Amino acid sequence: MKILIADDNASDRFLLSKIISKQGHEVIEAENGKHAIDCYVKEAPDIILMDVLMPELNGKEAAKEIKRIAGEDLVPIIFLTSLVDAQSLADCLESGGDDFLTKPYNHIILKAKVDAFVRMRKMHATLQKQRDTISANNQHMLHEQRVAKAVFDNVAHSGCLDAANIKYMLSPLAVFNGDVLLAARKPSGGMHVFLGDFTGHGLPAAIGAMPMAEIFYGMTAKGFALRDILREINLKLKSILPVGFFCCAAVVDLSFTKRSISMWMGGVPDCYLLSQHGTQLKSLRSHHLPLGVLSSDQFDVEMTEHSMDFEDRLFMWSDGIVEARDSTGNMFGEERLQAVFKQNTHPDLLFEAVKTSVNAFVGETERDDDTTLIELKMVDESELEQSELVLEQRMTTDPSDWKIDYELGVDSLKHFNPLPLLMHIVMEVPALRAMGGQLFTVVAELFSNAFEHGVLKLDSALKSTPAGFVDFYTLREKRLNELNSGFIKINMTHSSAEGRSGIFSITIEDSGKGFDYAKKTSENKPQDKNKFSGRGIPLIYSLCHSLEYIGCGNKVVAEIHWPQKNVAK
Amino acid sequence: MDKTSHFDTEALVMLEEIMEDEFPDLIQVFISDSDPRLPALQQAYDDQDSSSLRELAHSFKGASGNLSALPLADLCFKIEEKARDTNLDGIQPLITAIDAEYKVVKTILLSLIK
Repeated sequence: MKILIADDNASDRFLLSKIISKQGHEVIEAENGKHAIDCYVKEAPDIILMDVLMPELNGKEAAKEIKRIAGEDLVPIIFLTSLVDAQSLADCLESGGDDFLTKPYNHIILKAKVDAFVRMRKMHATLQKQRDTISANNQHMLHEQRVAKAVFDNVAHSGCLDAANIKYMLSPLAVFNGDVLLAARKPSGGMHVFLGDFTGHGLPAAIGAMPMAEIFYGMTAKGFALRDILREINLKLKSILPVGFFCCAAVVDLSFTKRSISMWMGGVPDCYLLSQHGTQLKSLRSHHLPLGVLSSDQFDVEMTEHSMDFEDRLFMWSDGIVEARDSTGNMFGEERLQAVFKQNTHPDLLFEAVKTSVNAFVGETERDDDTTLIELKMVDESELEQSELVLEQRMTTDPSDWKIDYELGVDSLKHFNPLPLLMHIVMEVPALRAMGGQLFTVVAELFSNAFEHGVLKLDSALKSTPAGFVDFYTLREKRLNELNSGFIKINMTHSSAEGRSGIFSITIEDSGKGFDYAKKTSENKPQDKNKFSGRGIPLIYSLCHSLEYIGCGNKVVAEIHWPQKNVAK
Repeated sequence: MDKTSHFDTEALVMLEEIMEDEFPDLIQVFISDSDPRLPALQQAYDDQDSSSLRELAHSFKGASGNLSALPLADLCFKIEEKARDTNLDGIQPLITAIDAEYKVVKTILLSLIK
């Protein structure tokens, strides 16, 4: 250690310097306060022994200046004094000294004090180094988190959350949000909305959201049913999340045409369905375990149906809302939430009212969880912006002339839904991608005709009454179980003239015995709105350039041309 | 001359041990430092400059204390206290006493390093 001795008394300095160097330290000498400051700046000693009374600048003033220059560094200053009264000694410490040593020097005490300050100085240096390391690490971590957040936001993007029928609020506690809000338009029309709340918050909670969002957006864009998406997400989370980590979720399949929602809720607080212009409030309760808990064979995708009229609203939230705490630790709670809804606030203002009420309750208290709130309103789909399907950009050129033959046997027909696969192929063509909804309807309708009426030999006449509908589906289930022969052959072709126009054609042939299509076609000409079915043919006609049944009626060919002259709505 | 009435002899022995070869140097430094102090004390008293008196006495007290010349240090302390209270009565006899005591101390110290 380097030790500065400041004393105007030559013999004292000489003696002290001898004692200190005998203890193995390097000694620098100064003979007054000013000189001591200069030495400190030049030599940066570790410890300073300083006489209180010195000419030029006394010890106390010099100590003050040195401490100021040292800033955060700990430079122990031990005052040397022959004053012995308590007040003088106390003054030494009050003026910024760390200790004092009385003259005449006792070299044993001197050694003990110097050693103690050497230890303290080392400890302080270690502490500062560790603090700097922590600070640097923290900076580094925050930087990494910001970069990671940018990647995260690209993957778990908000989809169509900005649609006109959605209001939402996300208040993450940290950089990363353990709550997830995803929304996507379906190619067949309608919307999937997903509110998730992972165990905990911050990065560990958010990381599971990435694969989840990938699955949600990817499968929705390809036309998968919400049940299949949920099954896939559950399987994924089950396999990647550690034990004890899971994702509570409220998931909605919203149909604008049927004006209804299909819901799956696992581990989330009750959602509220507000109908009849805000006069009727219904609580929807979670009946499932959160995602990522059960294995695939135990996982239950049963969904509940609720009809929603125009202007009806569904409110969903993470438990951060109900469990928000005020300064005394009380929770906002279900009762306060319901009270907001009972205030007869206009439905348009409810979302803000909930937000305001929670914020007022929490006040300045530090939040302890992510809070998320979303309102979903039933509107006419035409009120929404043009659907933008999220499709990955590709470097390769798009396929323009291709043909595919695909045949499904009994086992596949029983257990597999080929529509997403077929749509996936079709969607590779940019022009067809833009017509996704329309194409999905055509392919889905023709396939289900071939399957239900052809392979399963079900009579569509059954579906003409509401009661018949039930019979139809009971019979469908029975025939499906008993099915032991049959097939569906699908052929799809696409050709394009230099990318400016093209023709997509799909042929579906089933193992059934066909039907009198000439009669059906003429029956269907005058549109009967009360009619529940009829192979959905009128709808298909309106969407296709041509639709033709061949042979006995077990084979159908539909052609769609692009660009379309007049798009049928 | 009796060392014991002018020094803490035990401390003086220890000092010798600590300083080893440099003990004579310490004595020389002390003497060359202290010689000018006596005329300075007298001058300060003649000028009735109590703050100079106090500083000089304080410094002299420290130096002589460290060399274990405790009676000399005590005399210095008396001047320091009086000067602090700006009470210059009885200072002259003290200066005279210090002069005498210092001469003895100096002689003994020099005898130690012959």
